[in-house]
Amino acid sequence: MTSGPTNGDEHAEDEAYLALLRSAKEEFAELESTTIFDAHTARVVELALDALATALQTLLNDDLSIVGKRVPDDAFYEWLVENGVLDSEAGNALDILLEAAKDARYGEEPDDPDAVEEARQQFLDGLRPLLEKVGVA
Amino acid sequence: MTALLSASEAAELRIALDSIGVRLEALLEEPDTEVALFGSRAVGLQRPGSDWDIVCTRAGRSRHSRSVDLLFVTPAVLESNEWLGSEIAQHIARYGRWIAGKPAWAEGVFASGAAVDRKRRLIEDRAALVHGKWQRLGPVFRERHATLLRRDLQRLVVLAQGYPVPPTPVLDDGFAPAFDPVVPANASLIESPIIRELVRRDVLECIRSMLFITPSRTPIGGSEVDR
Repeated sequence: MTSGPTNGDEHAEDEAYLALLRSAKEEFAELESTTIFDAHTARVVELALDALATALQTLLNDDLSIVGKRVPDDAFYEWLVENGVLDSEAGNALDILLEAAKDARYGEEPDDPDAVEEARQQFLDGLRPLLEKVGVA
Repeated sequence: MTALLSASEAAELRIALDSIGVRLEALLEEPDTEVALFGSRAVGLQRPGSDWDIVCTRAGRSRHSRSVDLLFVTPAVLESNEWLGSEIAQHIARYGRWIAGKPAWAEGVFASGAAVDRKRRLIEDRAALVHGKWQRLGPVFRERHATLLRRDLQRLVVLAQGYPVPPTPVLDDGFAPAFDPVVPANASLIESPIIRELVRRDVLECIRSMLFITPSRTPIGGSEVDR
């Protein structure tokens, strides 16, 4: 990632950009405040992850200097891990969150809610530097 | 002990289980334990990247990864009505491929209203969440969540008719355009009349009828009135 002004500084007058930034902030806030303790909350987090990915993908592709190249619109977070934007610990935490979401699709409750909760926090910690760079956090 | 798997299946399954720290041989050689494949791989309809769904009838910690879902069910649970009437028990009893042991419990599975209610609640919850986020989801995510909802609606239709839910590729093949007469290659798996209907008719029409939502009649000549 590069240093310097955040994307938000350069696009302060751009309404579409500001709407995306607001959306990303709200989704991140939902991810920060939603403890996964059952299938419903796992589904809430899955959708917040997808909505945040949608906003971030657009924001990052709007300013290629942030991660240096275009990011894909599918497997977004996995791409961030594969390209070193997220560290492997955040990647492992993401896997745990996605597995909890997969279980929830079949109505299954998380096997180990404590481990899922720890993973949620690890993932958000790993994502925070990128979010700060974009101006979301 | 792996004779009920082809050599390539055993090799692939071994790799998938290794990824979650489980040895295939250890799983199969446990005494008094039944092991079955279920889902698409049990019936040879897997796609590239399909995961392995395995049920093992003993105590253990169920584990899930991108390549394998390993489910442990204890003998006590196997005898319970909650299990015998569940969607997954009905599915495994009908479509599962046993690679160790013979399942006595499979004779006792039954179609249950509880499984239908559970599926209905799951769909309602998921649909409400997806609806709330829809405007913020990109095309890739919209398509994925719409597909998940469509499959669950199909499962609800099948469950409510009292049939075991077939593997996902059968559901996907059944989602043909309205009145498309194409019969999928796996037609032999389609034992349920409602699934046959899903192949031939508009899936939404079937779902509406299953949810007891009567579509409004099209007036003939503009004079027919609903009663």
